[in-house]
Amino acid sequence: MKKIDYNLASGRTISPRSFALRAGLLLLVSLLLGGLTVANLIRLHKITRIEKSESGLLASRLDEMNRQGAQRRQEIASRQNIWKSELATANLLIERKSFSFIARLDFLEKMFSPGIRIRQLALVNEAAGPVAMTISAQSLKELFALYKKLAPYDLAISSETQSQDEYQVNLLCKISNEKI
Amino acid sequence: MKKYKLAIIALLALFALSAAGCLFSTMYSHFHELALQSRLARQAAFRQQESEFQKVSAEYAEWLKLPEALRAFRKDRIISMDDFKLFRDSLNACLDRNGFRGASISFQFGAIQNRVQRVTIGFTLNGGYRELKKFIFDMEKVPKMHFFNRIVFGNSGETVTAGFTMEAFLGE
Repeated sequence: MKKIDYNLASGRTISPRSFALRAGLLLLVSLLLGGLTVANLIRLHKITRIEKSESGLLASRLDEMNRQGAQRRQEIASRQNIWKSELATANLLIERKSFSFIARLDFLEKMFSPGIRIRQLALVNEAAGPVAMTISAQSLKELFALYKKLAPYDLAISSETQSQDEYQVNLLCKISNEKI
Repeated sequence: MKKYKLAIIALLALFALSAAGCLFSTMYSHFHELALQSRLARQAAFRQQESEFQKVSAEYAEWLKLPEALRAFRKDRIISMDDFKLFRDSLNACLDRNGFRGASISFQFGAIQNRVQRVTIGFTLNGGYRELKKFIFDMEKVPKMHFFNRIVFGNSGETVTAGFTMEAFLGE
């Protein structure tokens, strides 16, 4: 009787070489993943440490700024109370000193054509630069040309008298520093 | 056979551990990125506060300089009693120089406010427009604190009559 020999292990035998190759591959992948994890965690730890120190620094600077800011605002308020009136006086005087009558006369000289005469002119040292004048014109054309030129300067015509060869007008306008 | 089994189990455990670690670190990194947004917002708020603080500091520095600036303004611009005599001399000289000799001038002394006394000066001049304008120019360029308050020009034949109101500010 022939003995039947079943070799159940054939083909399922673990080849040490193949096992070592696969195991090595698995180990390599595991090590790679582990390395990635470690590198990532180290990087994050570094960032967190820097941020913590930065945020601590920011918080202390913020506290210092808030403290100093409040202190300075308080001091500004107290200085405002002390110097307010003298400062206002100085500013008003400077504003009035910088008002130029010459600049306004130059401006009016440029505005008026030869056919128009100024009979009376009043200039006042005020920020708005009010100018009151009585003028006479030889023709309506010249008069209206002047009205047109003075229109951007808040021109207000008070009265106008027409005689045979002349037109006499009382008018007001405002020549502020910005408009000269 | 058992050795292989143990090795497999160990390797798989190692793989699972490193995969879990990697997953954890990736998720942690992601949460870190999210936290970055709030950190950036905090930093922006800080920068805004810093700029406000700098503005307050600049204003504070200006206020610190103010007393000295006001002292200098007073010293250089406000007319002292000695300067007032000089001012009157220069006014007379300016009138003479422009051909307005012997004009009558009135001085009205007002109340003292903020250690400054206002003096209102009034006079009327008659002459050519050119001379009047030159006189105004000469007086306007003086740096001391006096200025014309009102000028009224009137046409009187060949010449021009001008009524002047000036203000001068005296103080020690």
